[in-house]
Amino acid sequence: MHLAFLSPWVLLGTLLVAVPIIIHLVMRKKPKLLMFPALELLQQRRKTNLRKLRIRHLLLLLLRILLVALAALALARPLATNLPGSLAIGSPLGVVLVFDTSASMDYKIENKTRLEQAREQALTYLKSLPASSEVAVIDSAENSAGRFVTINEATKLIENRKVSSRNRPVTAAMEDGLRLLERSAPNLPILMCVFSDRTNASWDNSVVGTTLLPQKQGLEAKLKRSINLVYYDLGAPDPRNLCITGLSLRPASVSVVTPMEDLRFGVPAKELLNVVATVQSANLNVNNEAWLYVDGKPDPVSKKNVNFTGNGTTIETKTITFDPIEVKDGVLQGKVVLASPDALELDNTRYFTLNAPTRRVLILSDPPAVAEDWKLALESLRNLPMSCEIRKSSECPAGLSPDEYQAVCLFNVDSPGNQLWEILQKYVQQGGGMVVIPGPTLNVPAYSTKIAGELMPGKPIAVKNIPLPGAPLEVGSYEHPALGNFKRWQRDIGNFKVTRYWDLENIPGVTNVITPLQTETLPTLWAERLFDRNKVAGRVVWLGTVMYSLPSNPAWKDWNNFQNGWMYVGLAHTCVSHVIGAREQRSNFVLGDDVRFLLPRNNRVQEYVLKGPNSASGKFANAQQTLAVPEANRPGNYLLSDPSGALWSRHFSVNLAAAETQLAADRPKLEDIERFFGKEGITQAGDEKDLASLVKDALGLSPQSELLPYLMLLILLLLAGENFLANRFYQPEQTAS
Amino acid sequence: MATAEKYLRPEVIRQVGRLDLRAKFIVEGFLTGLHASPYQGFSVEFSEHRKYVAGDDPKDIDWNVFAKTDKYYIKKFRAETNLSGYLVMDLSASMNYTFRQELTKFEYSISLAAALGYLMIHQQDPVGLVTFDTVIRAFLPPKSRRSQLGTILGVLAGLKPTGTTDLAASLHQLASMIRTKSLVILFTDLLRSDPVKVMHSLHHLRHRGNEVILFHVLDEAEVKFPFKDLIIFEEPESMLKETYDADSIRSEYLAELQRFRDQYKSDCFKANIDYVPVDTSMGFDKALTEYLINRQRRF
Repeated sequence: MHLAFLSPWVLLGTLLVAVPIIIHLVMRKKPKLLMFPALELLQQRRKTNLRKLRIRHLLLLLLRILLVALAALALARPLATNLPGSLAIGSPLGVVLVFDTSASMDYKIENKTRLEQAREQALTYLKSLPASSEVAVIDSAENSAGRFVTINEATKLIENRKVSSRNRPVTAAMEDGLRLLERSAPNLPILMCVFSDRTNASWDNSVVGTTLLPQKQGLEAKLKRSINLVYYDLGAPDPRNLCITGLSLRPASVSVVTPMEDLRFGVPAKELLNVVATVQSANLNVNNEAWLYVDGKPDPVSKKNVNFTGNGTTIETKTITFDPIEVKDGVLQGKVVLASPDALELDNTRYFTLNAPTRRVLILSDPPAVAEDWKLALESLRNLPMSCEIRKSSECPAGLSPDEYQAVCLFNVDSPGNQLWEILQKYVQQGGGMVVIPGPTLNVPAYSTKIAGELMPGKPIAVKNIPLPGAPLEVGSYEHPALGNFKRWQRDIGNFKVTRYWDLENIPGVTNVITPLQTETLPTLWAERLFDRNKVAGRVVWLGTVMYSLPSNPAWKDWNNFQNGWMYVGLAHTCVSHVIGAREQRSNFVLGDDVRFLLPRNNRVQEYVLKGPNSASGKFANAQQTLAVPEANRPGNYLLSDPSGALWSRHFSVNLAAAETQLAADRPKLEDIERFFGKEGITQAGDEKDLASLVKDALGLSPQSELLPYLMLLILLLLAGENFLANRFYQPEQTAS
Repeated sequence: MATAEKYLRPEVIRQVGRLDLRAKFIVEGFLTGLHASPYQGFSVEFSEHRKYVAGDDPKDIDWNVFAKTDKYYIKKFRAETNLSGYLVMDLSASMNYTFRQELTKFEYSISLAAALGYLMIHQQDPVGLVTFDTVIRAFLPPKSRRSQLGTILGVLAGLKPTGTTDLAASLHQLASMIRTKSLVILFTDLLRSDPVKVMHSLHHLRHRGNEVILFHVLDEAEVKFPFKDLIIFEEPESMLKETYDADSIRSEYLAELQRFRDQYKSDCFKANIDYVPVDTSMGFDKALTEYLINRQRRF
């Protein structure tokens, strides 16, 4: 039988056993003196009688000691279970409570959110624990591993748990819990209890086998006792939810839809754009309305019906295209809201920011005229609006800055001097993007100088010819990020061929080939320079074939047929957008993304202010290049700017990750959870078990009984016995003459 | 009758404070209370007449006197032989003990002795007194005068039992002092005496042709052992003190006492000695009555 105590400190009362001993020894009543002539008849039995007398005295003393000890034991409220070595309900425990505080825990059942339900269960359970238990509270939204505290402190911590939109899988919090136990496990039986709703986003199945199980086994070996685990599944068995899973943008004139989060280069200004919302219904058969709000106006600019006619037991997805809107002043912020609320309201609103920046590209070309096609190609793209300026290489501004020109194209510049290279080197180091497109008469030594070598992706050697019809690009597996668009265009990529190119000597550790030509030797056509990112922030791309044509010159031979189709615009867009990408940032984020922005280079801005659902402010450190904004951890539209707002500003939006509110889709299977928790320690969604009985089941506890009544009965019996014996010893004189 | 019994209560006798009266009341009550006269038990002859009273045997009515006087008289007897009686009192300190009775063992013994003395003198038998502790302290030769009882009681009233005793030696001494066959009535608690030696001395008395009645007088507390709890008992003669748990030793004590009495009873029976165990809680008239009835049956 295993004993536990509700108030173990009362056991100190057993020290009071000294009291009856003292009383017995000090206060024992002296016997009466009586005359008795027939003493001789007693004498023969004297030894036996004295022995009996002593035994009775000792018995009385023993009874009194037992009484005090039992009273202390009873007041300590012992609990007994008949399972040796197992935990007892009511016995002190080291409890790690892991709370999933992700957005989906805001789902309401009977007007109670899942997190409220978790808090209630945990607090009820804590009340049933003895005061000497130690409790750690771990929040899946917080990276800190927590610590063991008293029940009172833990109660406050639990009461303060709130749904946090920026969250981690609960498995990450479990890792924190196990790490905490590795660090400072109390010398008590350990119970880890996880409250979660078993959504896909909450459970990272990959870490169970690789991290959690080895961590647990190692911990058990270290502690030499088992870690008892309970998973309290708070998820609804058939969640009914209507949510906006994402927003996309579609220019009114084209059919390509781009998710807001993928809009890395902003949107074209003064062009009609359609916001497209993806709405998902889980187990619902409803009619609802989606409203589009922009620029903080109180009334929606567009309303659309969304009607789910499914059978109410499936997951259905629909897209809603709102009436077109226009970005007039460089930036537009808005939100899409589902008109009717449901059980989970956090996912009924989705925010967006549309930036329409004007990017400036400096094209250094000798002569400038040959770069007109290139300029035209760059300015033709709607989803990356650019303003290009062509100058002679000699007119390159000495203080060339990425804040002023986001990209520089070295287009047909045969012999850049050291001064130009120095300007360009500084520019690239600051984060500027440079595209080098050689002309037919490139001066190889001018591109082989030391300073050129610090920027160039390789060494141009000589012009090479490829027999007609030439060789197409070998895009391979589209691994390079710049080739993302080419993946969509690949159906006719083989039609575009190169017949002449500048052979580039690849330098190991420096040259990163984006794509070679599809010949036997796979010569490098398109390459990127690899930089030490601690020293250089910008990018340099080499495109080794001449990108203009001179049809008026009879001797001119085209180096490729790119201008016959989309390839020319595609390459121009890809090359420049790739190098600009070093300084481009998204304006739409999901919680969990690293919300970070490049800082302006002009040093005029020293402080920043964040406005939005959360506010913050601060100062930049010297030489700080980027600013992370962890404060933007609630969904909404934000503005990050200098205190005046006049020098520098960034608008952006933060939304819930769609997976966070996917209540029904791809829920982890019970078997997956069981791998870690075992079968007994899991509630099924919809079970109405309280935590205490779940813990009892999980630990295989038999019903426990408090021993107080039995001890009290024993005490009463002993008291009666003591009284009987004591009265026999110390009966007041009544028979004495 | 009822009035006589009432006055025979020991507390009444004590209030009267005169031992002779006490004995008279007791014995007369005792006589009138019985239908059979105890006189025959003492082997005496007719000597005079007295008025008939209820309870007398009608065969003893002297019809000649009835013819002359028209009243019922019965024949009174006189002694056939002279049977000298010795009332032998133990003066040991232990005899001066009672726990919660009104009479000590000694006082109780005096009451018994007075009654018996009265009886004997009443039937013309000479009665003497012997007191002893370690040796014989007083010796009143037997006389049948009526004043003899007063003398005896006067001596006894003046005695206070103290000191130790040597019962066996005293009895040997007594045996050698008694010249004629006598009735020796011994009152003692038999404590602090070697039973073997005591029996030897009693045999000595018997050997000399004496008849012996042994009144083994114990206090009610000695017979019932009413004590409780832890008690230090002090022996009055030796002043020896010993601690006992009364509750646990009671049964053993009572067994030991019973064995003690049984041993004397057995030995006395063998020696043809009347062994009469009494305790101070018994009304001594009844104790005496019972004994005398038993004795009458035997003879």
